[in-house]
Amino acid sequence: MNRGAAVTLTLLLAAAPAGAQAPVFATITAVAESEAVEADPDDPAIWVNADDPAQSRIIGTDKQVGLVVFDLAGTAVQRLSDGRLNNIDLRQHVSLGGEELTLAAATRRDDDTIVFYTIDAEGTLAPAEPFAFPGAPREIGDDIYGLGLYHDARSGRLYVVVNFKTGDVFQWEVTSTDDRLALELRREWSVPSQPEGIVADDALGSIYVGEEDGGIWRFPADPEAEPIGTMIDAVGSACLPVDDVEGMAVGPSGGPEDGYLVVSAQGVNRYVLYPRRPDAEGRQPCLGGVEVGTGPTDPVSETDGLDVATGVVTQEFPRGVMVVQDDRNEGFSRNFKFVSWADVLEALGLD
Amino acid sequence: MIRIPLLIASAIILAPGALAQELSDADRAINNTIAVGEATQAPTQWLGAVPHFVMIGEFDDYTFAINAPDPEAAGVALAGKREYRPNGEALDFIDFEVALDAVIGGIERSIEMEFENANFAAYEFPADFALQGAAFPEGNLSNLELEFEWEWVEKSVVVNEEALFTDGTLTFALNEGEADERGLSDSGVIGGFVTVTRDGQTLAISFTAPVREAEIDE
Repeated sequence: MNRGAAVTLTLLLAAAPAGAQAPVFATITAVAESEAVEADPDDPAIWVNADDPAQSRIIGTDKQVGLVVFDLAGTAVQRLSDGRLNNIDLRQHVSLGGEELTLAAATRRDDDTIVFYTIDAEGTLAPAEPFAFPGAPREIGDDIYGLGLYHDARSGRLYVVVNFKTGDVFQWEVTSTDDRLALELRREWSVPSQPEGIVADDALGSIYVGEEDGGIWRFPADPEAEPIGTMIDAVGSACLPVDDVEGMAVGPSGGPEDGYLVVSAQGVNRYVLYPRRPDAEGRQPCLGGVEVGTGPTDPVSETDGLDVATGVVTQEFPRGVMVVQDDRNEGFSRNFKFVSWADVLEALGLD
Repeated sequence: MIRIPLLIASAIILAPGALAQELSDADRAINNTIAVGEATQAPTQWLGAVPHFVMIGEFDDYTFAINAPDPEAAGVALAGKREYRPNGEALDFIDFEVALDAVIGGIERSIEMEFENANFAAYEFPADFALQGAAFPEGNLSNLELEFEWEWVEKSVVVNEEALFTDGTLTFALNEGEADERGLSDSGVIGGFVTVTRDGQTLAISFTAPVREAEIDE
């Protein structure tokens, strides 16, 4: 196991390279929205129905309750009252123990565990066996919080990466024997202050960790690598003028290694985009951001978790869908908004 | 946030924050004035144990003139919350919040105040606490984090403001409710009086709120 520490963080953040374009900011609108959740939504994950994209599913955490599964019309089709689930991620068609599975994982703050679900061909969730695993190998002084899955595109191995409010980050390998999941700790490290958002870029082998008051860290995803972090953007910058850095997602566009890292900048109710592929100096300069204003739905405020799926191609979402948490709706309620990924790219003049 | 037509959005390059509100003076007055009930003077002391919420003063570009001596009659939903942290077999009372939801000026608005101390239960009320910046301070110290937010949907305006007030005084006047053997109470009422100063502006707030919730911060 590789054990890193905060001192291995390297601040490579630098001034934007000469000739860099100024970030572009724009306002777009959502296409649709979900029903209100019971309590407090945080993080969505998108299950893509490759055979019938219109039957894809949005799985959202409701922090005091568990999970709610929505169809693309925003209707709740499944509810799982499994505790204080905070962040969720999923990977489709992973090979574990000789079997092809679609797995979702979530952090549960009640007992600082990672819980797993299998997802069937209709997008219905069922608890995996076993269901819950400790999120850390020892007692941590505060709650488990963020979570991301990493499916190594080269080795096919699956990892779940979780962080705690203390800044501790743990990377576990997910295996399966006799239809039973198992976790093995592969690496741990920390960031200086409270993180939450985590996303892995499976194709490019990077793990991004959002330090809420600090900025966006990039780490090599290989569990054998030293967890040396590169801060690609810091709170106080043009794209992240104020905290918090919240949810993150990889938004593909073009080739399998092309597209954008999308980050929720909560303090300015904005989603900011960075190129997935770092430049020769390791920089990923911010390209700009979008806010979601009034249109077919109300605006999105106090942005939090998000996910992007380019496999959900429908008439409403010609290049895929970006699903975002919305902290405020009529009647003092909260839900998820469904945004066209094409609208995001077009608004920022991106391919 | 002002809605920008999608077709022209990509051609607009703005400095950070430039998407903030660009309202007419009349609309700005509606958005930035949070007024409930009859005009009144800023309170100078706690207004008593009957549930109420009175908030008078200014913060940044916002003017607060909330006078709700009877919150229910004024259409104001008022709720308190206590937060505890384990200390051995007992619980320290480390935090309380007072939240208000109301339709004000035709806009659904939320205001929340949060106060911290190492253990508010260690004091006999009423007790005075000087506001400062540290989290969960020992002694007669506290802090005030004020958050207010709303969406004015018709104007595509989003307001989401947070501020930590470190100059002022909290009088924690009332803390009643049935408690379990560890001291946890998710009922009763919380009351107090706050005066704060920031950048030459002042806010005075008197409140008594029914407690609806308690949470243990593990």
